[in-house]
Amino acid sequence: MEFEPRIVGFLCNWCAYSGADLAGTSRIQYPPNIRVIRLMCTGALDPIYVLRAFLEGADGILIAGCHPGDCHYLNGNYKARRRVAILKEILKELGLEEDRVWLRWISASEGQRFADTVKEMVEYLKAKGPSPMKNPIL
Amino acid sequence: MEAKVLVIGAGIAGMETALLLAETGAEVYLVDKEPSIGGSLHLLDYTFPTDSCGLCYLEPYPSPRFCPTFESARHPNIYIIPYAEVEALEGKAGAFTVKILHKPRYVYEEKCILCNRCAEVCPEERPHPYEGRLSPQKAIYKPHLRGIPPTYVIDMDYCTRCGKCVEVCPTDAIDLNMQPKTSELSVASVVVAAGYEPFDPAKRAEFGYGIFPNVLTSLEFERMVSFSGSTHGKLLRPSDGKPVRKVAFIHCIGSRDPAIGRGYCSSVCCMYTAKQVNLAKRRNPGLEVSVFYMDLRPIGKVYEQYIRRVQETPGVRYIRSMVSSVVERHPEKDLLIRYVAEDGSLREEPFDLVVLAVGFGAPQGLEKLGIELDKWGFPVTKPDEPHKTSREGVFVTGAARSPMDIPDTVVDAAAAAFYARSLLTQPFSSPYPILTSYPDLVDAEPRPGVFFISCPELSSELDIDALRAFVYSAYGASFYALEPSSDAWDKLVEKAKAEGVNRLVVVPCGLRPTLEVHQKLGTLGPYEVVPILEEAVAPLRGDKAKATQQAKALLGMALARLLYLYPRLLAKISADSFPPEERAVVVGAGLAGMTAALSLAELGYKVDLVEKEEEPGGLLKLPRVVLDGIDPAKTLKTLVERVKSNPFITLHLGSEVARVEKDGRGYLVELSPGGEAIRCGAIILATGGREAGTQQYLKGTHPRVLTQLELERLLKESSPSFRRIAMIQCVGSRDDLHPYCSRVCCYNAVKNALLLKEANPETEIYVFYRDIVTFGRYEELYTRAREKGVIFIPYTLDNKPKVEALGEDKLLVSLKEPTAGEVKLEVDLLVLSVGIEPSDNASLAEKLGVKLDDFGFFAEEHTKMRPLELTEPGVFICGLAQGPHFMEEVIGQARGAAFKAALYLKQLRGFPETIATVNERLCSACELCVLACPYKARFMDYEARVARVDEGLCRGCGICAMVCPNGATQMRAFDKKALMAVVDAALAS
Repeated sequence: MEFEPRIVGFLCNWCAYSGADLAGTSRIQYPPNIRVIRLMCTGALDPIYVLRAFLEGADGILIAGCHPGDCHYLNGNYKARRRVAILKEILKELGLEEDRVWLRWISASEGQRFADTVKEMVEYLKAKGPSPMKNPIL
Repeated sequence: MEAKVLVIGAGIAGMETALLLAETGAEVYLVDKEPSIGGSLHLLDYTFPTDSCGLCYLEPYPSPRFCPTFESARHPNIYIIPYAEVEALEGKAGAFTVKILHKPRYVYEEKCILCNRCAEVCPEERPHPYEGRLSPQKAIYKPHLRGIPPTYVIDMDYCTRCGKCVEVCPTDAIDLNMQPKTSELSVASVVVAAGYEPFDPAKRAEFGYGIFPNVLTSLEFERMVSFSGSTHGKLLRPSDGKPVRKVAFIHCIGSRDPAIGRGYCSSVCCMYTAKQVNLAKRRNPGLEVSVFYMDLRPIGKVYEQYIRRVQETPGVRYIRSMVSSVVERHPEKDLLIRYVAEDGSLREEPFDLVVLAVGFGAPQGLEKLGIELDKWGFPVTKPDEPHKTSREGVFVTGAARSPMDIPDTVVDAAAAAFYARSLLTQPFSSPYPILTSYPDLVDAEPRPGVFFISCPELSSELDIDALRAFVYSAYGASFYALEPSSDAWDKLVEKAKAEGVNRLVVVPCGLRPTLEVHQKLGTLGPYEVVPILEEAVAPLRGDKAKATQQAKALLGMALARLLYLYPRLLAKISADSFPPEERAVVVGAGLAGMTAALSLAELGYKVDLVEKEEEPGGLLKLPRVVLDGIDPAKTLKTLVERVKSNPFITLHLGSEVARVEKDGRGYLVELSPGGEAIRCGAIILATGGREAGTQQYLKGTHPRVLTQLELERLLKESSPSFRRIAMIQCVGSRDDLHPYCSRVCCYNAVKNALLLKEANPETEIYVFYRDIVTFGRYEELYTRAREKGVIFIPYTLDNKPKVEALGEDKLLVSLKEPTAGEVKLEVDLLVLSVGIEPSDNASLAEKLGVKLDDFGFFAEEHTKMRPLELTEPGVFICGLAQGPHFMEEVIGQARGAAFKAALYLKQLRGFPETIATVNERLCSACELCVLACPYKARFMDYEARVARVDEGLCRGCGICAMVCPNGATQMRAFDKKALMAVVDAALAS
């Protein structure tokens, strides 16, 4: 059977989650590989959620928030950007694949962009194969 | 008296006006001629200057919520009447009767389930209203994305009544014999927010629109560069679908064109074209772009920088020119633009695609309202009451008043809301009776329940029994299936109450719950709405097993979050505990400050008006000459009289703000000298501005060099006579020192030139300019000045005019000019148009904890959507404190800011759903949360050595909980433990 990557999406309430909702309500097709978790702001994303998701078997993590300058909490998305950058450094140090964590800006009107991002990520992860962190040794 | 308002047009202006009014407890009928509301809002995926959507900022709540279209649809006080037109308006202010014509939609809203089967079988096509010819639609179609209502509609111009759609419709929702209906409404006031009619470029046949396939309007191009548009953001030629390599934009199509009866400037095209250039370059960085323009009019504070950035992008050329025609070349269908360049030569250049920047026309049908219209079809208004039409009780706002961009429209909407509200007698009240508290569930046994509104689509595509078994075995949740019906929500709430369910998962069919339903759900306990139809059924249609699997995961995630919330997070919380202070402070008693104070007083609020000078008036005190606008001297007199005699206004002259303290209820403002302290709930900053100083062009050294204001003083005090006068525009504006356009100087120069010419037609007047920025109706004055013989000579930043003194009373102005060669003028007066500068706002900004922009004006919360608000909730701006503006604009801003402040004063504070709480046992008083909070809602209690939350200020972003090293800060609805459980549930297979 073909490998179907499992993606966990952490989306901010205002932009990305609304964008995903728009993709849904306007019936824009995207692969069902993503499970969406709503946060109020990407600035409230604890990296521990990402690690937990990897340990539970996720192949990729999509973190999506408002475009720079558009955060509904002034600057939460910038905080997220810094935090994700550090998280990626740590993943790299641990020898884990930091390119499984994607940070994207998706506004509430960009349903198509959300769908495209999910498609792109699924393709990317299919080419890459299952996450090594699923390995019970970890 | 009727407590209702009619808003005509549900675009940006109409929705914003309606929302603001609805928030004050007024009931609003929102009528739109289109099948679904939104106006041009849905067209614009990207707006300048931020180049992103962000329209969800438009809502009037203190916390950001959602898209205004959805808010309007959800608001309990707004009645949307789509696809309808106003036939007649009878009666008078306070008691109007409106006749409404409801156009037939041919599809029943309550029956349509949006399955799209009808459009699949429909054989007829119609051009898409947005995408134009790029992506046709079926004759039965669904209105645009996010349309409210989303129900399908039939365009009878294209329908052949073949009946195929009626056959396939599973719910019998289609009725081809539906008839138009009329109805009557009683309202107290009417707001015309009918937007604009884009110019039809086919009327200017020389540009080839409608004849050559590769000539697009700017609206069509806008959709092309949008991801949600017909080509999903790809730039493709309509004729052959090939990628576009070279594109031309032509400005002023249907604007500044008296020959076709449109002698005004549309004000927005320069900027939207710059944005489109920017977006096009982003989609295709190799694209060659040429922009053909006459004058650039970057009339907003940050627009100058934006347009300059676009101009400097590699591959972008801005060509000052007059385009004479566009012709097509065969067989490749390229387009040849013929134009007259700045040096007077006639040139030709081929392009793949041509975009016509079409202007804004007045909306149609306004004559039915019995209001006076000007020669262009816009309502006639007075300069000092720019929102009042000739008929009492009928107000006009947004582009229907005069072409304007989104920030101005948002300001206008607030001003119109002020006027419309002032005719209603009942006081402001909150439309939400229930949003005040959450139940106490600390000790309650969790009783989860899944409420499944089983529309045919859900029940046929999912294994319902498997879902029922899953939620019970994995989470102990009961499963309730409900029939879809108009009272399904009420039944749901009843059922949940009867069964004692206190953790609710709701699965709606197609439509989302309304705000009212959200509130009702909130009184039962924490809940989650799970869109299974969109996230499980639609993507996996036909695969029942997989769709059910996906639905299980989604239900599991929702239940996990609700069940793993710590009980202590579910303590009773009531927003009633933060009654706001019903008093406002206005800083600055100029035109803006006095108007704002009077408006607040009119709405019944006490106001403290603080002015640092000994007399109120600000810039109104300067001697000015008047042509057709507001007379500052008269205005000053009436305003000061009204302010001084108003019992609600306390005037503090010779006073400044010394200190500001803040808590969840509002502000404590301390004045100096005197040390008087005022408790208030809102602050309006109207600190004004001034004419910028300059030393360029011999200013200060030669007696015959004046600024425009000095000239006006001279004209006011005497009637001097000059033989020849030169004026230089943009002195210290739009340069590195003041990199913004001051908006008013071109008008002032043109006005003064006209007055001088009127006094003495023999006077020669030469105006050296970079771009003449007489936007909107002011364009007419520019035309008049040229007719009267005022000579306008363009210069550029790297080729400025040179000025030499020729003795005491003469000057020599010279300029190298591309057509005429060297211009040398001996003049006996040189007038410099210097820009507007903000007052010294730095120390006030620091005391309030708000930011200034790069130029020293106060920085709005959002330049586009919230131009009257500052990042500090409860602090508003108006007038020159925000940026350069005309007096009539300042009046609108002041009215709008006052209305928004009044609304804020009435609003309940606190957001029970997502608020932060502190587990004091775990807090180590490290203060990280205090540093991280963007709203200053976190503070230290040094006595108890714990961090606390000001629940009146918390907006629930969760950033403090993220940085807390001990897990002491927890979010009510987004607790970490619960989110970890959600992650687990998402990946449990």
